[in-house]
Amino acid sequence: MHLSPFLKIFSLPEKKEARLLFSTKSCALTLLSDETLAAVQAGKAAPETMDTLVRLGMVVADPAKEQQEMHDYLPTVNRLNPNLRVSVILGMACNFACVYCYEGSLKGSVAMSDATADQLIAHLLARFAADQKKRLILDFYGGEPLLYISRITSLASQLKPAIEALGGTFNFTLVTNGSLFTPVVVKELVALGLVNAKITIDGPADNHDRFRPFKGGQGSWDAIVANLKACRGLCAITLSGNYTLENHATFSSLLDTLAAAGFATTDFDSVQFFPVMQVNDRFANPEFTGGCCSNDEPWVHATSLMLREAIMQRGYNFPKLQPATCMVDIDDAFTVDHDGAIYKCVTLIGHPEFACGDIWHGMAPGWQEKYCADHWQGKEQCRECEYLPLCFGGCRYMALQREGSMAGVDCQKDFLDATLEKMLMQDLKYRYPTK
Amino acid sequence: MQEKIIVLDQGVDVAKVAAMAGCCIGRPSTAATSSPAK
Repeated sequence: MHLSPFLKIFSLPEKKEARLLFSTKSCALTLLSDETLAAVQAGKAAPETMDTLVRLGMVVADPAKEQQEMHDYLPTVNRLNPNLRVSVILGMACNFACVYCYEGSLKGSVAMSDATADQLIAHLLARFAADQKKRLILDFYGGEPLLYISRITSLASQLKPAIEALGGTFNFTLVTNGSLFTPVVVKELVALGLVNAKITIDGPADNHDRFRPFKGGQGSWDAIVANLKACRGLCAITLSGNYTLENHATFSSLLDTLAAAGFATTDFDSVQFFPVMQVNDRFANPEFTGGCCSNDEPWVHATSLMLREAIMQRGYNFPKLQPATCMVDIDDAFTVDHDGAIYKCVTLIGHPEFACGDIWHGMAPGWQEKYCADHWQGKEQCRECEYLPLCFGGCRYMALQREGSMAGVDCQKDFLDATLEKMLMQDLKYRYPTK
Repeated sequence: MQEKIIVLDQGVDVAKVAAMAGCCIGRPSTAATSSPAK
């Protein structure tokens, strides 16, 4: 037996005699004594120890075979995927004017028509049945999806019984700015299958109101926080925030402000802040600066760790590390724009050169080339990378913005070299404090 | 000798990853990395 090529081993500053083992393939985490690790490496560990490490993906019979299995990982994900998961852009209207929004000038009054909505339902039901799926999940986007509440209720009230009649489950999520997220709305949507809403607050009120104002310029922080308070417990809420080089230091104070306002950590399913991506796109606000062009910018390493610590330290749930898949790699995941065009990333709507087909005709031949599907397979740096399961070539949209092409991978190695050990130490401290 | 192994997290298998696959913006991200902001 051998240690997996996807195993990372770290020393512990406060436990000299122990090692922390992390599998980038399974994201399993164990503590092991030095003696036991030596016994494992020498092939002399007790059978039950070896069984545990094999089960966790940390020890393998044949490292070369495991590397080959990793090359087949995404086809396996597709074979096992029980879901049809579709992001739906209901229209481009938005009541906010966020300074960094990647949709930028693409926003406007266009919206999904009745005929397109009818065809969307027909397309989804046909595909669900043909692929013998178990669950249909729609992620409603805009613009602001809650400006299209009647379209959401219409789609959900038709799809829910139809999917259930096929023996499946129907659910949906919202990516919403939160300004229209009221108890009346949420209760109505939960009855139709709403399971999660992702809502963005950019730190304290003054910063948030500068970056995420209403279209008329008024601040939106008070309205969102009031809605969050009123909707606590009605559905899972993911709290998100987008920070820049200049304002990241203010974000942790949001968590204290929410606590002072009476929020509990359990009011949020998870909390996570992200560095704004610097978008170099014909639709984006050309005056916005302060985003990152790569996760390798040193300030991104430091701030992502600092804010992760701030979130976990206060007892909020920060999502666990897990293998990263991209919509491009998932056969049964795609984006439908308001006009019925299909894309393989929500960020590329409005770019007809990246359309992959439409809901009348299905996927068009050749879309894989447009999105450089499996691009990492041709790169030795990826095929032999210990971080491959956490990356699979990174974010194609970021590569496109930075380099004008998706052909090159968006390598996460330097980022993970700089942050993984520290993230695991945070996990040890806050997720598993008694260990 | 008593070998000591403490399993802190069982991790996820490929079936669980498959059940969570979809758009990176609509679901919690795996790491503290950037995603397009809207």
